[in-house]
Amino acid sequence: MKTLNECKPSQTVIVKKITGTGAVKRRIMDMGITKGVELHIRKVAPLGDPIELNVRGYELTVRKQDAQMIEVE
Amino acid sequence: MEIKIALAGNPNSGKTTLFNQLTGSRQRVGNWPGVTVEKKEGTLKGENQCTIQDLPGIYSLSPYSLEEVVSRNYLVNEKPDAILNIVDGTNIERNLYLTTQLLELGIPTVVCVNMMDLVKRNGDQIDIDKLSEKLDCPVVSISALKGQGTKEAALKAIKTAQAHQVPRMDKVYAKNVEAALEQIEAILSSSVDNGMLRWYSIKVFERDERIHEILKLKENEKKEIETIIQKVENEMDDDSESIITSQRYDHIGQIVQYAVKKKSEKHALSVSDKIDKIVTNRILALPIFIAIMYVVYTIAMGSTSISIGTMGTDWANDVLFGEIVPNFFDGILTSLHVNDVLYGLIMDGILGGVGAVLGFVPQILVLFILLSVMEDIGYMSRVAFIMDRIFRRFGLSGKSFIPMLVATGCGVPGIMASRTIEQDRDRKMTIMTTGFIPCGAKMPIIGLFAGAVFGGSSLVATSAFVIGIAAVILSGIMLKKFKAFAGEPAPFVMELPSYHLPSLGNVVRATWERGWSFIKRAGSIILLSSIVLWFLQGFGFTDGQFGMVADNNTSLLANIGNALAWIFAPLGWIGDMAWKATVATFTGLIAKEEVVNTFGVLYNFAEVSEEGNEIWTLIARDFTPIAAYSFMIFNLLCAPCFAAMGAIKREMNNPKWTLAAIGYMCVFAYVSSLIVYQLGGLILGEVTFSIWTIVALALLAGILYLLFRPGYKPKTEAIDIQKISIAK
Amino acid sequence: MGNIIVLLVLSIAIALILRSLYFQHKNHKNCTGNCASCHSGGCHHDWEGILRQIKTDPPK
Repeated sequence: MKTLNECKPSQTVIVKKITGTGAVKRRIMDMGITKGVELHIRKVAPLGDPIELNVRGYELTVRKQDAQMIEVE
Repeated sequence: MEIKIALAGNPNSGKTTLFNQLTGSRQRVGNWPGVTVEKKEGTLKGENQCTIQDLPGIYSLSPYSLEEVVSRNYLVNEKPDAILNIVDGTNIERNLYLTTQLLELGIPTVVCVNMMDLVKRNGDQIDIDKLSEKLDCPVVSISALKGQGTKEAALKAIKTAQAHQVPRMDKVYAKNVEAALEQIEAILSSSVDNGMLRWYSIKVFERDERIHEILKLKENEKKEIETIIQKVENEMDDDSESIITSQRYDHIGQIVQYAVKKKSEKHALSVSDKIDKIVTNRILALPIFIAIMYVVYTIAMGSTSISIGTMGTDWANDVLFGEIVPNFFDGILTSLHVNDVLYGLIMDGILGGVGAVLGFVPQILVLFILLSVMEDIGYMSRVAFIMDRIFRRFGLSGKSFIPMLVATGCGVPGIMASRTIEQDRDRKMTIMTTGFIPCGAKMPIIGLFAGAVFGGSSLVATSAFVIGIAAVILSGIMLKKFKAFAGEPAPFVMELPSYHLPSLGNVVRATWERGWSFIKRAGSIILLSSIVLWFLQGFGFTDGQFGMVADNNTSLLANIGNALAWIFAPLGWIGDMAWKATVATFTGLIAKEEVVNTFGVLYNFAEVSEEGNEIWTLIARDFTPIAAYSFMIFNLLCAPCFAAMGAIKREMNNPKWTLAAIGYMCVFAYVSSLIVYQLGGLILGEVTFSIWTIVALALLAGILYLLFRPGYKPKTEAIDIQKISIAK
Repeated sequence: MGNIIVLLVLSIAIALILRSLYFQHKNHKNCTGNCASCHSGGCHHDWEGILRQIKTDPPK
């Protein structure tokens, strides 16, 4: 199982599970990253963090640290 | 009957634009998420009985962020007659997520789909009727920017409110979840009113602690509910909150499939993405950001052939306030044979002081126009994206960048914008450092010295901006090492809104509001203090006799200034300028433009007849470059104006923290100016080696120590991240 | 004569400025769009209370 922070730009992945608890998890899910959704990794910010995703037709940025909570395949 | 309509929607859905359309109220519209932090009310144009409440832009009604709790409290406790939910048609899936939560509140709701023109241009289709059928509430399409359909949407909301047409969305969740919700509803039905039953049961299912406190359930009821929840959780292998969120999105997926036809393929590069490819490029992003800021400052405050702002200011200083206005008043006053004192008061005091401030209006307007354009296009949230990594290094999140960008206009809303930062220590640190950013009122100080002492170099203006950012960064690193601020920064999950062409209306409104408040202050508080300053610098004791003085170096104001000037002597404020600089620094606390106003009054006195209002040469004579730079740094970084200090006091809501914040700013400013003057002066050969050189070196060493010492390390959080990734 | 006229105009102007400053100071509750004017009196939230309501992360 891979987590989102390990993915490379321009990869498309499907969310399997979101680990973690509390505010961060809820925030991530509120923004549309839920089980089964397709994520497209758009790019990585100039200094290697955060990453930009395309999810449900819009652009979202997530820190790599928070992306660790998202298991994908 | 008075009708209250709440305006709710995602950040960047055009909510504020719609609010302005409906109420005609004056409010800023930006393109970064979360520009409306405060609760704003307006009366619907043409319908005096209908008030519209603008809620903060939110993505959800979770209990995790300030804006969400604010909106939730309002909707649940104050129960508006209707909700007008604005939905961005180009991003309908995520926008409907909030909609489905609003529909559960048991309040009549009208959904208006915004940006329909853009949806059509993309080749997509949204079937309004099908959407209305699925959501069980009226749906209208509007274009807030063009003002199409907005009035109709509001009228529809009034009608829905009057008919009390409550939406009823059933079968959103899976069968077992719906069954569990029904069971919970049965338990709650005695303590909750019928319309809100579904909302409360969902919140109870999500284990929302706040709702538990409100409901005050009995122990056996709590237990019963807990078993219901746990049963579902075991079946679905997830926590209840996530089950609800996931299934809500699944349900929206079905609605969208039914009502929306998408032409473009998934993840296709839009124009916005293509721009982003360059602008937020790994290598180019930072150079582009710095280049853009340089160009902005060059156009506004530089001295090149494209520096429109400087040309305007030169004209205002040399022609408008150098000839036209003085000649006009001179004509009137001479023909009226006015007394010399009164003539001096008006010509030197008022015109000199107010004119010195107003002369900078062109530069400020140009700067504000450019910043508003950057804001309106959507570049600012990209900056937050680019800067997050740097900001996180010293413990602030990219989110802290937004208050700081707001602060380039005025520090007061900047400090208030820090409310969007959920984490307490991050917010406190942002409040403490936001004041370092050069605000609009500090621009004249920069402009004055850049023009008078540094030959109009746009490097000086850009360096002022860089010093502000550097002060923020250095403070971040130093403060973060103290126990009170240590810890991981707040999570950074942010939307990058699509770029769009700047709307002329928004840019003009934002520029005008910032510019007008500047002009208004010049006409009121600045004018009054010019009069007071003029009297204080024109009168004094000579040979024990009180009266007008020939040289303002012997005036009352000079006495006051000289009494305090020793404080700033180590910063290089010595000689004739010492008391003037001291007085200007203190009057600057009223409003930062006062610094320039004070110089205007003080330097006008000396040489009014020969060179008119040209005070630049006089200032250049009094200030050596390094002393001017030290003065500029101190005034850019020290305690902000009273209005901003008030904002700090309110946001900190704690006298100790307020004092700490203001004290920190003053000390930081003093230390930086001292180091720059003593060490910079020594290198340039303007200052000789003295005890202060040693002090400066010691302070520099102290700063380096604070920057590089290991600092306080919180134990728990660092390990937590490891745990999350290991624990499965 | 001229002195009196000029003084009169000046004192009227000062009186008007003081009056407007006083009203701005008094009337906190409306938003003029100029954020320095209302001292955030335009919003009626108990921010401290709301901050207390925000759910923080449960100990992991």
